[in-house]
Amino acid sequence: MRNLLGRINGWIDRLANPSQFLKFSSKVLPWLGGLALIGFSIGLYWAFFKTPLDEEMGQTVIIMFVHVPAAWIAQMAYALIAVSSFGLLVWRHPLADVSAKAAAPLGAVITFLCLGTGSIWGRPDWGTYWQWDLRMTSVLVLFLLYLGLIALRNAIEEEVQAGKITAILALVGVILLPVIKWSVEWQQSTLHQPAGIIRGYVSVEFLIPLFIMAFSYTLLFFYLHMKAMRAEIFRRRTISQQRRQVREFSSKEEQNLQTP
Amino acid sequence: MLDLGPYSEFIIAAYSISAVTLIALTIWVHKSEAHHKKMLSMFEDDNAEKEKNK
Repeated sequence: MRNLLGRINGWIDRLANPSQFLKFSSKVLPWLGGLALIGFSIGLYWAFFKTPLDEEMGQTVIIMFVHVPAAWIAQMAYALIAVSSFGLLVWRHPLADVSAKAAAPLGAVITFLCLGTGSIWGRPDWGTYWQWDLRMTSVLVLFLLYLGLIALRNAIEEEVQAGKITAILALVGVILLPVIKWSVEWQQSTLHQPAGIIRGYVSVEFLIPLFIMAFSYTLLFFYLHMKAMRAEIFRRRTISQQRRQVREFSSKEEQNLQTP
Repeated sequence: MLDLGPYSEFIIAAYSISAVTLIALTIWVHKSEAHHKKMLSMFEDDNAEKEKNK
């Protein structure tokens, strides 16, 4: 057991090295992208051609296969940002800040998708696009929190400082995740469906395409996250190369000024 | 053609918005990675050239 934990720790330490991460991700990325594409193809085929009509919702039930995975990934992305932020503040892992920064815009877009598809689904099922209930409002707050994280990071010029302050805000925002999760239990007078998957309210005919789509969404998210992390590593290395050139240029200038 | 029922426009709208957004996000992330990779290799080449000329 201790041996296994040691190996996992060693693996995480190796991966926390940016150069090792670049090597590892270049091998993993084609697989993630390819599997996501295959997963989406199977999931969409299942959703449109093999899903039966729902007794209450009719055909609109198939919107669930894009809305629910988006809702799950929106929360998972935030949890990833929180874990990365914790890693940055406590262990100062070099890749933790890169991971948190890369996940924020992805999470924002997927939360927007969750809100958009949910709103579209609400019109035929509830007769309204929006209700200011706890579930929808808390997901809207999550979206605004993502935008806040992006804006805060961009507002602070010094990169290390920006990472730390954004990480603190991200950790404070974690309180929103249980609120989103339990909102439908706390507020009885909501139009939003209760969490039916865990309680077994959803039949297997709907669960299979739902899990295939959710799995594909997850793969796509990690594919995009890895790509965005690579972009951020390249950007940071470019900045250090630029700084090196500026240092060399200014030392040459100094030498020229000193020589009579 | 699939029969999507009386609310087909809502189903089409939900799937279209998801497809367009995810494809646009993938293209944006891919282009961003390619751009930063190119910039880095330009600077690295430039610095390597200067090292050689020293």
